[in-house]
Amino acid sequence: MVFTSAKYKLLLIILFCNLSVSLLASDSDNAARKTFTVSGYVRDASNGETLIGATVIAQNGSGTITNVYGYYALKLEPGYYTLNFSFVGFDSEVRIFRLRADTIININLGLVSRQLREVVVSADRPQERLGQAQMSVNRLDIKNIRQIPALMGEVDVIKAIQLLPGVQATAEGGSGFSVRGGSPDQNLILLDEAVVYNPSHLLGFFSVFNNDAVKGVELYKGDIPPAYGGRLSSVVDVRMNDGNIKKFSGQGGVGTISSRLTLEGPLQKDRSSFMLAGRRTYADLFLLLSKNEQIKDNTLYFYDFNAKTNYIINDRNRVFLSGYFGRDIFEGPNFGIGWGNQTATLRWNHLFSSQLFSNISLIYSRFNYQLGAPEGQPNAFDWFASMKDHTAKADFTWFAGSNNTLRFGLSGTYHRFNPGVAEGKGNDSPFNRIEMRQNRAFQGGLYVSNDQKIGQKFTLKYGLRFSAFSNIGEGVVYQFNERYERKDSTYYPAGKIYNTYAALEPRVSLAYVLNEQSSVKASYTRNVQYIHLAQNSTAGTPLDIWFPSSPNVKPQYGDQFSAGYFRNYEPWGMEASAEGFFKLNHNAIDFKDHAELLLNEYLEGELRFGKAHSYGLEVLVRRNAGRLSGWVSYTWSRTFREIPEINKGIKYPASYDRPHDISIVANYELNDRWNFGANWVYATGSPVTFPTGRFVIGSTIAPVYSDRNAYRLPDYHRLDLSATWKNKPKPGRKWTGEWNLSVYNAYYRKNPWVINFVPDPKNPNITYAEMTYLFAIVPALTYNFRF
Amino acid sequence: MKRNYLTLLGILALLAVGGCTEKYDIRLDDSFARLVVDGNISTDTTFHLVRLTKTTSYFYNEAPPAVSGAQLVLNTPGGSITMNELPGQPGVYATADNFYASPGSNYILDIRLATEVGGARSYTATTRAPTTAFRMDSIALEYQRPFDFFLVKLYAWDPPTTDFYKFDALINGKPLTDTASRSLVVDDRFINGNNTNGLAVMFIRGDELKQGDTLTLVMSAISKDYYDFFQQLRTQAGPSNPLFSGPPANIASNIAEGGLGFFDARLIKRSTLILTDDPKKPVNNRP
Repeated sequence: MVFTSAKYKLLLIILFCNLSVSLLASDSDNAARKTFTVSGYVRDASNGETLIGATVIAQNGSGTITNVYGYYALKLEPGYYTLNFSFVGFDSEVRIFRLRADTIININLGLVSRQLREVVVSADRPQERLGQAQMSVNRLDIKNIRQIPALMGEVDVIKAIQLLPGVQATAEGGSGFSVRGGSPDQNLILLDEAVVYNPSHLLGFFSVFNNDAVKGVELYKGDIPPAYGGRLSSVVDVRMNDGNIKKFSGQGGVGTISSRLTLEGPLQKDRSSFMLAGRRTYADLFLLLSKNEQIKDNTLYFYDFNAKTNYIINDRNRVFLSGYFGRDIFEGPNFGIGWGNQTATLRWNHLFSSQLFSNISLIYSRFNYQLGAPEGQPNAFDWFASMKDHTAKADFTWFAGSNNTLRFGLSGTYHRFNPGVAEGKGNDSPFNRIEMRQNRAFQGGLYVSNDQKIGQKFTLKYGLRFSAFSNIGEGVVYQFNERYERKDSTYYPAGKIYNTYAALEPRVSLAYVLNEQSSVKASYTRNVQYIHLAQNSTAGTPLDIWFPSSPNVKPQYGDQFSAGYFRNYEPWGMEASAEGFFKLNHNAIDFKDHAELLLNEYLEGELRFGKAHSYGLEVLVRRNAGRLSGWVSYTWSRTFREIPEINKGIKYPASYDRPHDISIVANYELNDRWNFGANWVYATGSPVTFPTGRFVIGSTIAPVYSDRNAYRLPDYHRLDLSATWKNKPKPGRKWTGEWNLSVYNAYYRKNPWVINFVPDPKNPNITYAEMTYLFAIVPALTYNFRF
Repeated sequence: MKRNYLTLLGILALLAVGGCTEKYDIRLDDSFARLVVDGNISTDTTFHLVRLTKTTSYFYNEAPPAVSGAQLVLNTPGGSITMNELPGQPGVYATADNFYASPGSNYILDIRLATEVGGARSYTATTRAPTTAFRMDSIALEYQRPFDFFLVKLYAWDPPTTDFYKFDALINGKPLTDTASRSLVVDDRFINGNNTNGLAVMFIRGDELKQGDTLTLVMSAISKDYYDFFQQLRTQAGPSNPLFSGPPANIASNIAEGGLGFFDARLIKRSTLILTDDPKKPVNNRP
């Protein structure tokens, strides 16, 4: 095991030495040249929502961006300053002041006015990001996401993410996605810090995120900050709106497939607010139109609620409480399934001083599903499973000096896995109760990192995460022989810690500013993943079984190297980037042929371990301002797996290996009332395994397969369009409404979802290939309103 | 059972989003021809058949080529038996009609081919007849009007050992069809040691049964290996979808030396129902 090797001890020592030296250096700087702190929150003037990632820049070039709570702090020498505050879609604000002591400047930014929008191309100051060492990150504001044409008009955070470079949808219309060749279970999806274990509604065609309740999303594809841990491929950090603290307001929509309503307002003006959002689909109403009686009798819908409240105790303290509850229901006369996520987050922002920001959170997260046949039906049964987390964490940001920003924190999560219980219903049921043993585990993390500016051109970000994972009894560990047959088992009583893994995860990145418009960056990160998803289909189902690392299952760990070139074209409000990456994943998990993953007490015997690697190049050109905005992204990447017991040990392309991937997202604002959107996606077809021969048993034609993933589906491409028509703005009008018409798959591309080989019903000796595609042209009309 | 519900769920999902299918032209590579063995012996006293064929390219679109002129010897606890090719049925080899398999006995089938297939002339299959002491009492039919199909309900007793079963239906003595999708194999995990109390084990379409027909349900105790083989055959020969199907994988076999297919020994029991009344007439409280 490499986790505690001498190499890493050395690295640890070097990191901490460097850290202490640089901090001491900044302290001595302070003694010689006194500095003061300018700090505060940047908010949306209209509703008091904090703005994440707003830019704060002084005329001397010093700058920073607001954190996820909208807070910033900047250390400056005494003197006269012009501070510029900016955020995409908002008018910039300038403050001129003389810095003589620590100063608090809270800023409210107003939405960009139309007249100004036509003259000023860019409202954002992206050059601050050029100099930051953070790379491989994409930020999407909810405003950007809303402009993208959506399937059935249902604007969706996850579908927007799938259009970014390096991100691939794993199946048409699905919410699963692969980041830089990783598996979908290697994405850490967070909603207000709570893990969302299954982000899909309606078998993945919609995600759990209601766009009215969401502020925005950050996607880390590599160079994952040390504050995050537990997944190899990415972090999707979704933040909910805090709720309008200025006045009562609402928004919502009536769509083809669902309706939604959000209410928000102050509980106490400028101190406390709430936000309540709900939506429900009515797809089942369409089923009633079906002539087929079997379909008619089904119900099929989902609903979800987001709720959040916060209270500003004083300048130094603010508390937030937020929650999500969602449920999918899929019921027929003799069969039903339901699943959903529930999360709750309690947070306390505390400023020890203007230089030391802290947040302490208590988090609950649960995913569960149940299915069954109701009592009175033949073979009536019930089956349920769940996954539950309790987390406590504390994060600190110390704006230690003009050149150092130190972050540190710790977290602990108690996991409970209930892989499944099935039992018959009714007194004379023939079925036994089958109960999988529950698993318990503790996952802890401790991290420190520093963003250090070295001169005007160089920024270094280095940090270390220490993670540990323990299996806790009651539990049974099965021993398997080299043929994965069960030999023996060991029982551990309740509360006994019977297995522990620990690892160091170094993360280093640096940025070098070439000139005002461009910079180069490079990074290396190691990530460790201790819990895994037993899922071997590509699209993902609600029947998720998460399982912990254990004596039989080593943690997966991954090393990623990336390097990139970043350039802004400020006159056009454009930013461009090119990033290359190489990723190596050790102890990659796959499943044996014909694996049985559900209700299997000996699941660990179905696992096979090996290596995975991927590499690629991502190019992104994005324009955030002006009438024509959007982005063009191109990704070239490959991803392979090598597992000794699979495909005879020969390296094979992973299901997510799609070498060429293009996304074009465009939005054109014709005038105050008309807005048009379009996106086009293209990707090389997914690798698939096809038969290269056949044989006959009885009268069943059985396939003989090629090597794993030796063929490809035809290339995938699709165009979506949308047009939005707003009602006339009138002074004093409170209600604003807009009609949105979207068309998914506008030129009717039949993108194969699956290709099956089926016998001809007339002549059973004849077999032919049959492709299934999911979507024809799907138009949808939505009315959105705001008051 | 789990699998059946997953399939149902997959179909519902497709209906929900309105997927469409169409024929698709595709070119596939060929793999070399291999020997395929399809046969079994059972506790019935009758002649038992083994069919030898070859694999073909996937779009061969004809009956599989028979492997004729082979010598088949079945080694039983009571000595060796020669299986002879049936006249007029090339590639089909049979035991004498007084042969039956005994629970718990081992059987080895030696195959010697006239010419090499798949790089070998000799193939062997080893199987053991299960010892399952199960009881089959009766069957009943339940008509599901909204779906227009019959459920065949089983009254039987499963012993407390680990057992595997296969169910096949005969209508008026003729197999309902012998495609794998119409047969069911189950393990006894959910019913171990229990009376099955009317467990639904098979669907029969509404138009397949009428008044006056005789329905026979064949319940066979099978080995774990054959259960795996048949389950895999059903899955791989049936349609797949990205939601619920794992990656395609070749079907297991017990034919040594690289053959495909399976040779197994099974214990057979039967139960018969004569449909004197209209089987669709409501008999219980269901509308």
